[in-house]
Amino acid sequence: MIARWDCLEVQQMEELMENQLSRETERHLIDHIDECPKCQALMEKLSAGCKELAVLKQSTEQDTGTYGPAFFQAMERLKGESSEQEITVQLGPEEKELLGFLQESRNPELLGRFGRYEVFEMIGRGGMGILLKARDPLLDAIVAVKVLNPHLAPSATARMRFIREARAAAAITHNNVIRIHGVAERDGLSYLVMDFIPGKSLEERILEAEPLNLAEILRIGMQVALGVDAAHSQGVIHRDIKPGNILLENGLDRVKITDFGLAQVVDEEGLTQSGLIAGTPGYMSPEQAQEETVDYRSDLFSFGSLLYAMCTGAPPFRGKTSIAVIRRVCDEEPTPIHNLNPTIPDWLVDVIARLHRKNPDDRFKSAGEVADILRRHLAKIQHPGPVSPPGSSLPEIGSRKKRKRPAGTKAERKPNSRIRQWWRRATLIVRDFLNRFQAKS
Amino acid sequence: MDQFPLTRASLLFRLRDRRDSLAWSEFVEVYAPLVYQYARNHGVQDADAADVTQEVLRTCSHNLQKFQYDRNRGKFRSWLFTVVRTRLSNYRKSQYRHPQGRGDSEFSKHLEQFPAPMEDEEEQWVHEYQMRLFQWAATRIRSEFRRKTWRAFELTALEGKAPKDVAERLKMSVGAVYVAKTRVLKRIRTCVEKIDAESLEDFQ
Ligand SMILES: Nc1ncnc2c1ncn2[C@@H]1O[C@H](COP(=O)(O)OP(=O)(O)OP(=O)(O)O)[C@@H](O)[C@H]1O
Ligand SMILES: [Mg+2]
Repeated sequence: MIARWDCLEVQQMEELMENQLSRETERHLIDHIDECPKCQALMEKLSAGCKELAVLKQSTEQDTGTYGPAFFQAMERLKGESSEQEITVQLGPEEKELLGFLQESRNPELLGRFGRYEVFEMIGRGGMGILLKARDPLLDAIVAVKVLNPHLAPSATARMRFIREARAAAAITHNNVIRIHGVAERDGLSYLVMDFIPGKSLEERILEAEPLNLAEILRIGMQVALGVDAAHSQGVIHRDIKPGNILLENGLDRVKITDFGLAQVVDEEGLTQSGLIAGTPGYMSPEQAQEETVDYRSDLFSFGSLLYAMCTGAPPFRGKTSIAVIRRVCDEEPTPIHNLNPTIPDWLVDVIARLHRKNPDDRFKSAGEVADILRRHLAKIQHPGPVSPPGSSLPEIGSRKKRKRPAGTKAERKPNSRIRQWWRRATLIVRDFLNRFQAKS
Repeated sequence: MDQFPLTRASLLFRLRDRRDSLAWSEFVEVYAPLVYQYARNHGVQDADAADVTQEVLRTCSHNLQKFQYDRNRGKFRSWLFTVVRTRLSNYRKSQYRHPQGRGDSEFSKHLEQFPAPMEDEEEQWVHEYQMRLFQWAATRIRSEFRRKTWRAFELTALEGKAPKDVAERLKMSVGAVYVAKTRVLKRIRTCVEKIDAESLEDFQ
């Protein structure tokens, strides 16, 4: 049965406009607006009739004017003037080797070129490859280029998988999911081009001395949940939700999730061959750690670990070795949040506990459901005072219809053979060994 | 009180950091076409209009970094207008006399002595300024939306079609059309706000 929805409040309307609602809530609200002249009129009032619309209209009708060649030269010159004081990049021998694939550029401000991209700097080096900050002269946009470590994808199948995953991720259009411009191969290297997000990662934020306050936790958490929910409803599983993959855009309260689906690209052979991996399984779900069924609910577990880390400053499952971490993920409960941060409200502790259920069936039904809860509590701290009784505008958590998943997301079963499990553990031991070896030398 | 009460996110604030090259190129993208067109509309040819544009933007960069743009003295766009007018009038004068370079402190002094512009002249500038901001924002965010959403926005918000007709035409629900329209508008607003929040105050 279709639930009858009350008219929208202004707050809800704003949330709808800002894309802050789960798909499900959004669909209900749109259905309501569809049939409710009162809400339509309210929306009309919120948008139409204001002066800015007139300006916008004129600006689109107005002919953009003529620009002579001198104008474009002046633009180029002006833009170049900002980097006056930027230091020319000096590369260490290791980086030189790592970036050996770049073509030289005559411009001393650049590290080099990669195809048509003008590379400014290497932003980071993660488990899967390196990340470059570059300019795309065609779009005149600053982009981030992720070049896959060739050792990780030695086979053509692995590279195909990378491209397939990246395409699936590129199909997700959502405020909280990074926009992918394209994916391609060049000189045998697979790479992915996406928006460059000035700012820092959640990982860096968590490491800062000042702990995140509750409002921050909820705001970030809600957006992550919304982005993940959008991906899930398009059949994409992230598989590597962790603070390093959550980008906080400078100055904006906006969160962008990166690296959708890429974790599964790396195959076991790649892992052992590269020895480069410094990743920890700290955010994996038990089913992932054991190579059992991996479906969208695995992301919910990792999301729980992400919330936990925001609340306490450290991931929930830790250990000296990967194997130790995996054992904790699979068999143990993390240290109670209240022992580490007594200011976290009980309801949030409960939400995290439910995300952390070892059995996927016991977790929430969707990321959208969690987003709704976080949003409701965020509204409460932002607008203290009388809060509309639950159920007046949003359905109660328990009473939700079971959401239908699009085919293909659920039960994407991987062969759960003992051999595979054993193999996985063995590779992790090798990784550990290599990590420690590298740390020493 | 902070004499520079701009939010951290705002472009003008970010411009104070010389290493934020992204902020600067955004600034150039928004304002260079505005200044250039203004000069062209006042009878200046391509090459000279480009020169004036460069001078104006360099003055901005210089003054913004040294916090010389003080909000208590007015809105950014009025300040910018004074710079544009001064540079234009300098340019006209230089066509008679020998062109001569001016130091920037001298230039600031010069600014203060400059006669106030006619009212409608400034009004026209404000109008062009606002149009540029919205035009830039609309181009900038367009790719963030699906084609259908954008089309629904165009048809309702810009072409004034009734949401019901648009819904039929695009095979969307009426509710979805309303949401598309308000969502795009909202996004344009936030985009404009990031560049120059003062200019949104006009529309409150
Ligand atoms: N699109 C982007 N724009 C700006 N910075 C980014 C972008 N993507 C990632 N980063 C930054 O670069 C760092 C390295 O990213 P990368 O994805 O290569 O490694 P990682 O996330 O640490 O590990 P993994 O390879 O396991 O995902 C991130 O921590 C983040 O701070
Ligand atoms: Mg990453």
